[in-house]
Amino acid sequence: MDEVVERSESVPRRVLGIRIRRMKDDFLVGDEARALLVEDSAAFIFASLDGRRSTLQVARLVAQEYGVDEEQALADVVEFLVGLADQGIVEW
Amino acid sequence: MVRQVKREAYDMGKRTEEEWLAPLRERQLIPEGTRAAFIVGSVARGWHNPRSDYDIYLVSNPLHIAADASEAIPVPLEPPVVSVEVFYAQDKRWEVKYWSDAQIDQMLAKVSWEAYERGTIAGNVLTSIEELTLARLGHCRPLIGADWVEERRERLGGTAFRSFVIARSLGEADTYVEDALGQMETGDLESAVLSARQAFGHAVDALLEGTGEFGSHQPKWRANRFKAAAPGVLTFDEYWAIETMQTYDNADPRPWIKNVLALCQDIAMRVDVS
Repeated sequence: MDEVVERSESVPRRVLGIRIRRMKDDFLVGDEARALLVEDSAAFIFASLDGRRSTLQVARLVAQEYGVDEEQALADVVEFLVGLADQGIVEW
Repeated sequence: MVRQVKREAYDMGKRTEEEWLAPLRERQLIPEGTRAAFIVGSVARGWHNPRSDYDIYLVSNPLHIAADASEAIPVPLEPPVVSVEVFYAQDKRWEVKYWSDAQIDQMLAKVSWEAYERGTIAGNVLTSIEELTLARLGHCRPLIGADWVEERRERLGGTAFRSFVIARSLGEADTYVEDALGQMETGDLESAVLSARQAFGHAVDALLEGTGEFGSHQPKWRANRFKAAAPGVLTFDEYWAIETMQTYDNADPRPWIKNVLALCQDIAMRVDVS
């Protein structure tokens, strides 16, 4: 929970130089041989990272889009973004 | 001068098919077995100027190879050559390229979805002249065989040509982004600026190819292609500001470079390669 609070005001950005390919509404992220498939709500979050929105603002978009509780959306967004940060795809 | 150019464009737009074909007929440049003849290039798009050549493609069955052809271009097709006739008329240079029906079919077969799904790289599947020829089908002006042209356009639309060229352009953009980042890290900012410009050009090409505006082998037309496509992700003014480096600060190039690289990534996020 501390991490969620800590990250909520941070602005997540996609790391420059990461290979991205869009396929309909999904994304293949990273080198072709070991690309990560980002789909459904994860793709929505990934597409919302414009380098200006805070994590909380992204979570609000998710809550609005999927009709979920804002607190739950924030926890999910942080969990997803922390995973991407660990893989060097996103930075804060 | 501008009025003269506009007048010429107006006159060319009103020229009938037979008026276009007359100089070719006078020189016996339309062989038997001709399936189609069409104007390509700047004239077909209305982007020509008083110094523009007239480029015409002629498709026949079998392939026409003139004994005294001005040039023979090797192509990885069967027959393995395209012949070119050049002549001067009406104060213009006319260039006629002769293709065969079978050669066009072979190029269309090279960009099948099966080939795309095998992971074939666009640059390896078509040579520049082949890619340009398929690209030009979309915006040519038919003089003979309008049905033939329309049928090939439809077939092209059913191939993976669009995905091939987008994937190639995005791949080129990625390579230059990587170069720019590495050059920035070592402080080689001049090289990083040049790499960022290259990356942006290829990313915009991918964006335009996504809308069916092909022809990235001819970057001189990128601004015109952008206006024709109006892709939405960027306004023309936003695109042109980067292309002409309007916000570049020589005292501190890093923000400009990073902005351009981020924009390349934004474009990759928006262009559907499937």
